[in-house]
Amino acid sequence: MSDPTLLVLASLADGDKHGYAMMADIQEFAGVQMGPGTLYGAITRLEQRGFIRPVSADDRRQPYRLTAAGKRFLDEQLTGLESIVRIGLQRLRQA
Amino acid sequence: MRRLIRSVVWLYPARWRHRYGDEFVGLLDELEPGWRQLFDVVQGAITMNLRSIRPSAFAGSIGRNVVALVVYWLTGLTFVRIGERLLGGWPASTLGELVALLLGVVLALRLRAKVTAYFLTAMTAYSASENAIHLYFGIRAAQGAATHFAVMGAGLIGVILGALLATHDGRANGLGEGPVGTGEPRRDAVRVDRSAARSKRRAAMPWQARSPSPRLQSASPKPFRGVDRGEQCADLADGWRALLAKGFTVED
Repeated sequence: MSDPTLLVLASLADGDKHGYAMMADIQEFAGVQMGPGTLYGAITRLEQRGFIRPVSADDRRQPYRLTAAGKRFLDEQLTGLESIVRIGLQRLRQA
Repeated sequence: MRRLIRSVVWLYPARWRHRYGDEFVGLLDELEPGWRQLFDVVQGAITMNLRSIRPSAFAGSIGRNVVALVVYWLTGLTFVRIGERLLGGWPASTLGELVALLLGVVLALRLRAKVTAYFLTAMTAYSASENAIHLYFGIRAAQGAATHFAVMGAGLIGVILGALLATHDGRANGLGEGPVGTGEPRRDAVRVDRSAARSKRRAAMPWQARSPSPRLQSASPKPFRGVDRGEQCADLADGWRALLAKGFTVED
């Protein structure tokens, strides 16, 4: 699971985060060191697709929030991945 | 390194910078600068520019440029032939070519064919300089010092015309389009006070990494969002970027 958009969605699943917090969170839970250009590329795509939206901020740090559509999309994607992981592990152990 | 990375933000499309530039630069300021980040930001800029290309707009832009070039060529051919056959040849023929060039520039600007507008403007500069030298010496082909003067004059006129064109391009670039994603032109906004446009552009510079001073870093583009969308990005650099990118493409 290294798709930047999926990582950003997964990071926002437990609450609003700004860019720096997302990068730190993704590094922690996925071990992926995402660059700022990659992160904002993902944020741009996700906002355009209506999966995340900016929330009000007092400073230059702009937090983002997962929308209902984003939650559905993330759920579908993770469910699909879960299935692949389960089947893949089963086959590995049987081999 | 930090300044270098911040300066790369200029490579992102103007509309993207307008929407995300402030927070993106804020994020860059929080990170430890390094080569990896630099490459990532450059890669992001390339991706964003590629993503901003819309095939229909690209085709439309190509079409407008071709139409402007063809109309210029036919006008020029007509004027040169009239000069040669009806007005006694040189200098009427070359002056006819110059007039056709000027008309071509006007037409290209009207058609928003920026590449053609810049191309014909460059040709106008050289033609004007060359004709002025030729008429001064009363000869059709100048050599030696006269040629050097013609080239130098062309450069000078070219710079002046280029600056005028960039100003025009900047005003149209910044004011001619509506909010992100709509792609709708805002013709009502074209009539803007030029001094106000300049002052807003200056005021909007700081967030775009022009200066590292704290006072300037704290400036935000938010007050400039809305009616004057994009205008802050319409400087000379954007004029050139518009020639290369927006002349053929329309951003998201």
